Amino acid sequence: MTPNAPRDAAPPEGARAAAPSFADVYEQHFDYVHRLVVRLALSSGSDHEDLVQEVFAVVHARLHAFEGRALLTTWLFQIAYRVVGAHIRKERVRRFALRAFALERHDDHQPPSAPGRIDGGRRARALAQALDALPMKKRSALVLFEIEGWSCAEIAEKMGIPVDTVYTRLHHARAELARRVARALKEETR
Amino acid sequence: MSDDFDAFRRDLVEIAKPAAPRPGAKGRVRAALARRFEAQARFRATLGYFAAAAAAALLVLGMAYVRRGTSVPSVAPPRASGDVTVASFAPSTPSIDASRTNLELASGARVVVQPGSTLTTEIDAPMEGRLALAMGEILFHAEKRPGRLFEIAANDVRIRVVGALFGVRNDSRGVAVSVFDGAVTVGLGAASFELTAGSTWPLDAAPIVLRESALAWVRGARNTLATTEIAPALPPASMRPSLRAPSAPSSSASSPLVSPQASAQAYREAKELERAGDFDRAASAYATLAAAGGEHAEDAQFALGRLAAKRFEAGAASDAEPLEAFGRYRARFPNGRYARDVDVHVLGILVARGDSVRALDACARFLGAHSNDSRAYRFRIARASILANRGAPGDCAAALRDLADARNANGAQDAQLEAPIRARCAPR
Repeated sequence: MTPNAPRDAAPPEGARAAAPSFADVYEQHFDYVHRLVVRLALSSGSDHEDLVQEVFAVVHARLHAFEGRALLTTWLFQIAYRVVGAHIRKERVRRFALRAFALERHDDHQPPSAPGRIDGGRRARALAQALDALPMKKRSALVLFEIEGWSCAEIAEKMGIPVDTVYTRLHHARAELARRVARALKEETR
Repeated sequence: MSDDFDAFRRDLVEIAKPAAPRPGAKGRVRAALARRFEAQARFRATLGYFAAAAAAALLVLGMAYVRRGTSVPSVAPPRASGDVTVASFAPSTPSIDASRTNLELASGARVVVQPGSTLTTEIDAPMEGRLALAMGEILFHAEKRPGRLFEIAANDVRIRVVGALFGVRNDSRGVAVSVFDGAVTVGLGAASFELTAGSTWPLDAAPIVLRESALAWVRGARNTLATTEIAPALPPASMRPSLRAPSAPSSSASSPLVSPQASAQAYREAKELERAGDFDRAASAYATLAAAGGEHAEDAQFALGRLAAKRFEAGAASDAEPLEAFGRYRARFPNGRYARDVDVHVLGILVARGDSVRALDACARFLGAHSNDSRAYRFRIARASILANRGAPGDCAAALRDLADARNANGAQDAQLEAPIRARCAPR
């Protein structure tokens, strides 16, 4: 069972469950959606509560179409994944534009440290930036596995992909993350 | 890889933010959703009214079209408080082609509308009368009467008048106002100033010509909704000097900022305020300067957009503020010397807010017109980034073509800007 996911009964084979009310979904699944959004969005831009609001706005609009063929948590995951993905894409373009048109200060620029001295803070920062820069698919697999402790089978089920694909994404995500962190730390020590 | 990655695993868990909602988050999001759903319901409800209004407007337009062949334009002058009359004087309308149309408002004010003009009149309280000149030229005359106030709007310029004789022109060069008798208050954004007889605003605009026959009508003969022949442009002797560029003392009297020296001084002061970081006062000074229409009006108008962009950058303003400010610049100075810089700023804002359709359109227009301009590099990079990010078939090829052509002002390529685009388009 996915940690922190509210329990919802598996739908009977081929049966169509009655659509739950929006109020019930909101009450029972708010914490789950919030947790998903925080994990998937990481530090990408705006307030996580805005994204949670976006997710529930979609839920409100689409709840009538929920046929109960999948678990409600799976359906919510798919919505949260799409909302956060769209947000991250927009945020990347926005950051690019602000940098390219000199509308943003480069606050993340830090003075270089003395050669050979890399403290834990720099390492953590390099790791956070590298994680932010990972493509959404790889990043979400990595975060859900490493931070949230989901199993590959659970990730595969929620994302609607084969388990082997999860293994592949995890492998590439780890390799890319390690590469990016190593590069960032190397540049800092120059 | 797993062993290598163990070093990161502990850090990953440490840097992960607490995922539990902050206290009260559930209530805040619920309240925000309630407001959102309420607004959506209101919007759906009003959509019905708009549809009905649009149908009514179509009906009126259809009737106007059917009655095109008659000798009188298919409009009636507004007569009572609350009436709304739309008078569109299209140049193709046979009855008013090559002639002026004279309107007499119920309040006694008289308007001469030049052919090809589009004028909307509206009578409501507390304004005695409000006219919107979307395009063309009018001559307006109202006797001064206590408690009566007219407003004429042309783009974002508002002219308020109690009693005066003046002309307003709105064409591709922007809005111009010439006052022949009395005084009017010209408002632009938050700033306003008085324009007195003999003055034209902006200073560099060609003064509006007052024709004798039009003057005779607005001041005398009653001929409601009749048409008159165009008369030779011969202003009365007493007004001839005012029809040329106004003399310095006259313009100074109407607005102290329109003389070149005063304008330059005010611009310097506004720039000093901006340099000192006093953006609010700088914006106020620029707004006054822009509205006054002196030598530095264009600089001031651009500076207003620049300041709004800075506020947007700092998160203190929405994207609408700089877009509106730059829109004003474009309306007033379509071929101004900052026009391309405005294009760059607007592109940045469009990209920043994720409006890729309009951003791509802006890129296509700029690169189509100024492909050799030094600013073209930014447009190529922006377009390549949008295309690479969109990732539709053929987008990456187009993005890489843009990068191949892109050279900045120094004839070089910016690897830092281009690297993410190339990485996104790299074969996997």
